Amino acid sequence: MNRLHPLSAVSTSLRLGIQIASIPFTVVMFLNFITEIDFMYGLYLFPVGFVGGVGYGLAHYRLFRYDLTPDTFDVESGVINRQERDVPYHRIQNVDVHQSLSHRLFDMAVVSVETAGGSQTEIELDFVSKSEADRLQSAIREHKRDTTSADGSESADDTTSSSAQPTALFELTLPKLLVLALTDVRGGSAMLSAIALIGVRSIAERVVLSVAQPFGGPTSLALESLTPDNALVLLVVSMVSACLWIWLVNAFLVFVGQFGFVLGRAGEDLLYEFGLLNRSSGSIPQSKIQTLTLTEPVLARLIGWAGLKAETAGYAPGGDGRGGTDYVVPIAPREQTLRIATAIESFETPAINRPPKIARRRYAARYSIIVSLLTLASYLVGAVVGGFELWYAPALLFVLVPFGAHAKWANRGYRIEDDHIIVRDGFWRRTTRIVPYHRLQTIRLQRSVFQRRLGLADLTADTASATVLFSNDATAFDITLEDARTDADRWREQFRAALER
Amino acid sequence: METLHPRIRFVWSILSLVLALVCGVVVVFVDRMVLNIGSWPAIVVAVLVCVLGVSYSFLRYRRWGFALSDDAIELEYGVVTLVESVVPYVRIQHVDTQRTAIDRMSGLARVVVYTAGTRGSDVTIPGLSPDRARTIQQRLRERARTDEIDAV
Repeated sequence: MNRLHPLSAVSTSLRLGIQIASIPFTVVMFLNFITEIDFMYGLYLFPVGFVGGVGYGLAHYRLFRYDLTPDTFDVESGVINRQERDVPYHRIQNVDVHQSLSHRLFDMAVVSVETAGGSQTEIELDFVSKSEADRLQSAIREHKRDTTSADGSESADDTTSSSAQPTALFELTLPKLLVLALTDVRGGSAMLSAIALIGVRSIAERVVLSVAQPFGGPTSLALESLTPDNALVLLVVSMVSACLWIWLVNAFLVFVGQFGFVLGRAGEDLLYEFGLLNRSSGSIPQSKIQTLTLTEPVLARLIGWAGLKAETAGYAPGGDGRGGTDYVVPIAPREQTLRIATAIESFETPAINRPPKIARRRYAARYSIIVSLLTLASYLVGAVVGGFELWYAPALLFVLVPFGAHAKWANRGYRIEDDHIIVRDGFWRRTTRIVPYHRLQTIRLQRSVFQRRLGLADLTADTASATVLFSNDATAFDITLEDARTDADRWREQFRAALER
Repeated sequence: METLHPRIRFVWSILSLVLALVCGVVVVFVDRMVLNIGSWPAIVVAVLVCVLGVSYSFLRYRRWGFALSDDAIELEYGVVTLVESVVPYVRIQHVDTQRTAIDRMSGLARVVVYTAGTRGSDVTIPGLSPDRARTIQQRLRERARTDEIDAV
């Protein structure tokens, strides 16, 4: 049986010591606020809590053991409630190694092992030395290959290619990294952008005000200098500048986050590594990949570039709050990405057939309703506040409705191949999902009230995917009901056939 | 397609009556605190919710259907959005029969089928007599067991 690295005992004990010590301290401080109790008691209790926390941390370290047996990865843990967990190698989905900046200073790493079950990471070793982490990652890979080839079921021919040295498949060079930083805008960056904005508040205020001035913006942010009209101008200007700001902060975050990305193959596993300050590496067994997703953010699409993600059924591969699954290829010219994608999953092309034209009318109607409601709201504000000359401004958005509807329609669609379903959706961040028939979990045909009027339906291929939050299953939106019915039957047939093969 | 137990209509209707009552009370409360219009809005809201709720319950019952075919469970349900769903037996992880407090009071039960999928990963068939729920569970268990393939 192995233990975690001794340094982890130090860090866990200190962390727990401070955490537990601060509980009675805070309670006493609070009581001192509402009663007559002397807050010095809090100071006396502090060392008691600290010693308790340190003791617990040390006990946790002493009692946490892991071991690689021939068939399973075993972990014993727990101070008060003991737990013994044996995970069979062939059930393991991903093995991730993560190093935060402080871990890197001491050459340490956190190892996470994911299986398809459960709602959280199955095994987390927090933390071991980097060399031990690498040893574990490759040992699990080797064990897994032994157990699967013993069954003779999967990848019997792979035994010749030793997994000792991974072969390089892709490297994110500096030009590619720059393209990625400028094109790959994620919603998650908005939050950090807002926090970063606090640091440069006064500059941001001055910039926004001076840009808005020529368009009739207010002279200052003081309430008395604001009229409904110049407030509207200010709102539009600040929204545009907010977008630019988010774009810049996002570029910085992506640059730091994806710096030095490399993808390789060892045996039948894909291995990747990335990060400038925090360094992460993951391994995905190819036999466990559920779906492939081609990601094309609008800016990348303009220059014909695309990224690639691979989803497994593990809970959250690389998803410890860093948002979504990790990339297999962050970005590359489309042909290169497709070459790697087709090597992983043998589909033909990511081309699709668009939904019927009537769907486009539906989107136009939907956007028109939204713009009408906005205009109505603005009119009502004008009627109540008074002196609001520009109340009709939201109506200008009607010009955009046809373009929006067309963009939505043109990027949607789906196509059936012999072994795969290809589904595409999204304008800002277009995703093309490639679903092999044998990965289907359930098939769902759905028709809302509005769709029924037009004879349209959504057809969804559900897979055992990892991203629970913000998950978008492979859905073919707004296809004709006839197509949906025949294709649902066909998917079912193909699924049955794929399983028998 | 098999239908649900007819009694579920009344169970759902009674639940919507409760909802109507709650809505009415909320409106009365808002009226007393802020608006002071009188009691008629509360009655209008309650009656409206009640009528909508009861007709929704009956429609929902009419639309609900399921079938255990050769290779999959087929389900059809939905009032505003119609859903037709297919769950292959091979993909079933486990099957529960459940009886909530309301189920027990009305002498009904439900079957819940779990798969590894993301959404719709648990499929519930409500409004079954306890015997029928057990039979369905039994049948599903046998079907799910015949396949040795990894359900993920």
